[in-house]
Amino acid sequence: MSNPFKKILQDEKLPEYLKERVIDNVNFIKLTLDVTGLYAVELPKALHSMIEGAAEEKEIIEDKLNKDKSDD
Amino acid sequence: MKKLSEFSDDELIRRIVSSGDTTAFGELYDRYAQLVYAKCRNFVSQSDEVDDLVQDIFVGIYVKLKSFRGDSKFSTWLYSFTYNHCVNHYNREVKKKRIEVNLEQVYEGVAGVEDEISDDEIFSLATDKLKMSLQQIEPADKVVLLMKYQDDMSVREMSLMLEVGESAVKMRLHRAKKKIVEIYNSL
Repeated sequence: MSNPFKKILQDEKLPEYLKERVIDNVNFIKLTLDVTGLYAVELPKALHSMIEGAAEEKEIIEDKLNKDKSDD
Repeated sequence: MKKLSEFSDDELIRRIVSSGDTTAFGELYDRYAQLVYAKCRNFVSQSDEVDDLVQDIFVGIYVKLKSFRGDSKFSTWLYSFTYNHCVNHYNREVKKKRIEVNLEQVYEGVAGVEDEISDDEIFSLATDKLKMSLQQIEPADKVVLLMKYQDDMSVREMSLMLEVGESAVKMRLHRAKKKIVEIYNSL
């Protein structure tokens, strides 16, 4: 005996334009997530490494100055 | 290089989760949108409302795909997500006040004594009349019927998806079968 619930599934046809609507939405979400990630994760990371780099440079310069002084 | 159409569902999902690949998501859409659309049709009759539901479901799937852990087949997870979304939509739209009655308890007493409706009896229902009957049944009952007879889920799978015990699933199924036959006979 065939299952009438399965026959119901075959009756309905998906409109073709719907895919474009869904993918447009999903692309927008991806863009939003990428931009949010850029500002919330990548930018702080870049700032952190810049500050760290500056501190390291300062340390190197101070070391060099101290060394020059002691040589004098 | 392997085409997207040759990827398994799991491979596509890994790709979407790791890089947000929307082309891979398009392939997943192509595989399942027709079925999701047909399922949503069981819950709403207006075409534009069905389109909006399908769109919301797929956007939700894209965002929540990370939470799919692979405990069940992807299709099982997707259909369960679809049913939840449809039931919530129905509840929001109808906004009817629900009296919280613990139906599990009510039916626990009667399940043992009432005759079980067999699968043969369900399969003997005419498709068009069944479709009309499904429009009238409560969404929660509709969900268990679709899980059992459209998606071929086992009681265990239904129990995992609905987050209730297996005995509660059996009880709901018993109640839903009884109701659908009652509605069918009244048409």
